[in-house]
Amino acid sequence: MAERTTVLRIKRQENPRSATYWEEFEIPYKANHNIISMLMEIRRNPVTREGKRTTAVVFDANCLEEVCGSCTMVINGRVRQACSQLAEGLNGTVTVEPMSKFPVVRDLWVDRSKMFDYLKKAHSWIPIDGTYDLGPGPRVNPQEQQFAYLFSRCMTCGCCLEACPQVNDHSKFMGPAIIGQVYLMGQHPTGAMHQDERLQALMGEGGIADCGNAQNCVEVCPKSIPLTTAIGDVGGQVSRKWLRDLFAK
Amino acid sequence: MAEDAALATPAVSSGMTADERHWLLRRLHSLSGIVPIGGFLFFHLFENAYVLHGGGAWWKETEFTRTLPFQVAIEALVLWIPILFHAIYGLVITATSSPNVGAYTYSRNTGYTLQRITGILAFLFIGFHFFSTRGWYYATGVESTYARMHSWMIDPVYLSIYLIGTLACVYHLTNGIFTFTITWGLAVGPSAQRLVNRACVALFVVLAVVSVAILVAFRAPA
Amino acid sequence: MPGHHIIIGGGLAGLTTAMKLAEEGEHVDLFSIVPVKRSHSVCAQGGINGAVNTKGEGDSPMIHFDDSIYGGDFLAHQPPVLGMCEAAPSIIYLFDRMGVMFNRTPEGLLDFRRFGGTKHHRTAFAGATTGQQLLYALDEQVRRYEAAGLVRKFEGWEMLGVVPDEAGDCRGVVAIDTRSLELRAFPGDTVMIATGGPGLIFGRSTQSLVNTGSAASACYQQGATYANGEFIQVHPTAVPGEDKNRLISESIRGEGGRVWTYKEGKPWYFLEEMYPAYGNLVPRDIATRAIHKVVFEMKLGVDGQPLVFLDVSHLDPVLLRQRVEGVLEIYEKFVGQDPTKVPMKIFPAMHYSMGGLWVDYSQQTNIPGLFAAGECEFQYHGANRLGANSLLSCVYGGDVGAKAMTAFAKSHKSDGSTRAHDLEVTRHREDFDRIFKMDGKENAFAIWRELGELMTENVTVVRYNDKLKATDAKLLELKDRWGKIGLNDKGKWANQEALFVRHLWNMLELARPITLGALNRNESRGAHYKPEFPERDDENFMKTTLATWSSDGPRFGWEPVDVSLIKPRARRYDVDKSATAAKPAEKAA
Repeated sequence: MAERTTVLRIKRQENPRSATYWEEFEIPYKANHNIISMLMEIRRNPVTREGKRTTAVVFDANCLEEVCGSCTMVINGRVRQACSQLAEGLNGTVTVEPMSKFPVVRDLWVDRSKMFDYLKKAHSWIPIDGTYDLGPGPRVNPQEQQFAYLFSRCMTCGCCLEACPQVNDHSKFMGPAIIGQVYLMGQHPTGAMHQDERLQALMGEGGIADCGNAQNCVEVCPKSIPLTTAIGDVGGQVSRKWLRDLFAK
Repeated sequence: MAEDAALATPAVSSGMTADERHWLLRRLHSLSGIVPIGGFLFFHLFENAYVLHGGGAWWKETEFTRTLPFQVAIEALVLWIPILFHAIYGLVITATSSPNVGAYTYSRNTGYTLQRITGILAFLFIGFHFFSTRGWYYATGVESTYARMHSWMIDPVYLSIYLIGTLACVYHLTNGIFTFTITWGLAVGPSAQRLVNRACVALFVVLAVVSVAILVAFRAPA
Repeated sequence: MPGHHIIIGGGLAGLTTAMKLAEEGEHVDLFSIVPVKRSHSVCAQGGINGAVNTKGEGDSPMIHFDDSIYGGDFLAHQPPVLGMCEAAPSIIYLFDRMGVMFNRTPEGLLDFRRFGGTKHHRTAFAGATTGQQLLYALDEQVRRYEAAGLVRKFEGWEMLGVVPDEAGDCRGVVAIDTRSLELRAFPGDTVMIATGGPGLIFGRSTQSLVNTGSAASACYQQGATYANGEFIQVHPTAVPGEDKNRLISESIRGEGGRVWTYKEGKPWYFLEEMYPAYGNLVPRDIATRAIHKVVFEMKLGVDGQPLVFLDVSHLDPVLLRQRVEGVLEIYEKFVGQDPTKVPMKIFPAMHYSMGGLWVDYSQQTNIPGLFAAGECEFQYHGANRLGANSLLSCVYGGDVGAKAMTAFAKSHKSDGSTRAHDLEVTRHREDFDRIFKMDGKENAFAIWRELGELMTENVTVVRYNDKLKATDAKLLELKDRWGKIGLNDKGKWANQEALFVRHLWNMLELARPITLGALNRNESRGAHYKPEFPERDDENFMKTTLATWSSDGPRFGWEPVDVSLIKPRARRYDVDKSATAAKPAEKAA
């Protein structure tokens, strides 16, 4: 009887401008293999299923514990972290592609720097007076902390952007992640004092009004962040700010 | 410190920025779908439901909508301008989408896709409906009498167009009410959204039944 | 005129340094292989220590100081550790103000939990992703300065080496863009190395893939002293995996988790029995050796495998979810079982290097202008690090370093010469040209796996001199085989293989002071354990190992430990500290 194997069908691309192509690799099955450990096997012996010598597949990965967000890929058509996709439970040929909503650097490595630019645009920080010792921070209601904590686990992995039908090359929508962060900043007593700046950044093109309520974000978020709650709440916040500005100024 | 100015809150400028214009357009689009367009659809179904009491009742009860003072101005302001805006801007929004319901088969994602499809269908149907009824009247003076409507509804092609068109309108409205409550921050959490969604599905079923009943009622001979 | 500083590494230490420098109006170029938000600091789960004493336990920075020195088996210089423990409460307050969603008490105050090696609730935590939360808070503050133009980020860039001038002062770095492979010199008044640990030298560790120790190794090869390399912390509780060993945080035991295995058919809570005073919350080196003993000497591993149970199934699942959700989730996702119902199966794994680049009390290495902070330096943890002290040492070291860097830049203005920079760029370019011409039979990744297995087997929990000697011989052999690597990928764009070949060389170089440092130290102290020399030997070895690079291998020297504040005493965890020779925080004469 043939030994059990896992076949990875990988979409490859030499550089951002070159054409894509597919290569298949066959890896002996191990229950605790995951996509990354299988890509590591390929690195040690970069030979395709047909026996052709090739280059090691280039991929982005770091923590391998699903907290850094690096190894996000599209596996069997769905976006997720590759490190937590175990070989156990995968049957047949497994397709592995880079995320489609970000420019490919090479093979499975994509450039997600636009997400960090969005954080800059939306002033996603608490504007403290200084780092010198000013004593304890404000008290926080433990229930509110528990809820806000969910949003503070966002690792900017981009799953929510990948799955969002409103994020693509013909729209400027910044995606759900940034809305979650603006919500989070507004939950902190100091952050709340400056929430209007962030809401302003979400008003324009690419901001929260471009959400189409497909709600894929909340389904694919690997950290189960209640993104749609943030979208609803921040939508209300921006609306109220707008009406306030309209009638109070 | 030296760079404090750069870190300070930017000054709030007066006058409408490009951002605020974008926001205003999106909010008007969302609002116009409910008021007046959604409101009119409710009313339109309600007045046409008199056909269930027979053609005569229908013609009599709908008379006032044909004999308003400043008829054209009111129709234009309350109906045609909002609908045109909602439809054209809706097409602009639809152009920015990239549906992926094949890969992500969640019910909300299906709703998202259907909202765009029914939006296009509703736009085509409303155009057809207007030009063949009120538009036709303005152009030729021919009224959309019961006999005229009856002759269409017994024609399978017309009936199919009306069935698809009205159901698309009804879906687009009821799903739109649901997303409206999210967009404006009225239904925020998942359980609130689930509740509103259920209510909107129920509303869809009611309006769909009413619509079909109206269309079928027109098939009865005068 | 503001100084111009270069920081290598965007984890907790690097970002703290960047934030502190920018706050002073200094200019910063920040380099990181991965986007800084993806740095290894995200993996720290349990929390950050600070004696805030909100639990009515009479805790104080002095007790924290004593726990840390005692936990480190009296190998750390005491004054900087005292400074760190004194600063700890204000560091926690700062993070609280920066928006970290720390867990709260019902009154809305910061909550604290227990960690190993202490009897006090001293660890502030944000669920079980505290490192991630602290990193994000710093990332946000640095982004604020980036938006203000004070910080420039070079993400996706990797440091190849420092640039020393004729006088030997550090005047910048050479770095390579990992995408375009563009190689450039970056001049700077000072350089901070904040590149974390060398976990990948041990193959599968709890560390992230960027933690090759390559940057620290490059500095070592350019003359920076590497100190106490032999002190490698093996964390008692990790889930063994194909690609890495995943940490199960000490906070699990802090929340009441128990370690056990079957003995004569019944659960045996061996830590509680062996160490009644601290039980499951003994320091990591103690717990690791106990597990090692139970599995390998007593042959009591679960199902005969090298595994024991870490059990939280007796605790309230709702409370667990609130406090350690992140850890439970890792076990669920990577093992597929719910730890609140089934005991976790764990085994020790290489986790942290107490040793690192030698620095003075201002975080400066022996190369003037070159600083280091975080896990890549040696200063705060002695022979064994206490849980939740690492995040603290990163932030404190970054703060201390930033102050010294500002002062250094003021007094050591560069003359603007770029001759030294050009020379270094040429040297590194030639190195890469050689790598691109490699066409032997060996595979770099396969050699790496061998290195990892070699080091894990011989230079972790239990060390024997003959094996250490054999390991060093094998390292030389691997270095030889490195020269016979054949590069599969000759591409000049985003060539990860070529970059890794360089990392591998640096790992092999750094593996030697770690191995030989262990060979030289004929005693047992903290994480360093030799059955042939089971006792601590203060007379001969209460000193810091100093390794300097030479072309024929590391040269070793020694430096006495500053024990001016707490008199060394025997380290025991089977009895309370009060039963050991000295009272807590008692000052030496």
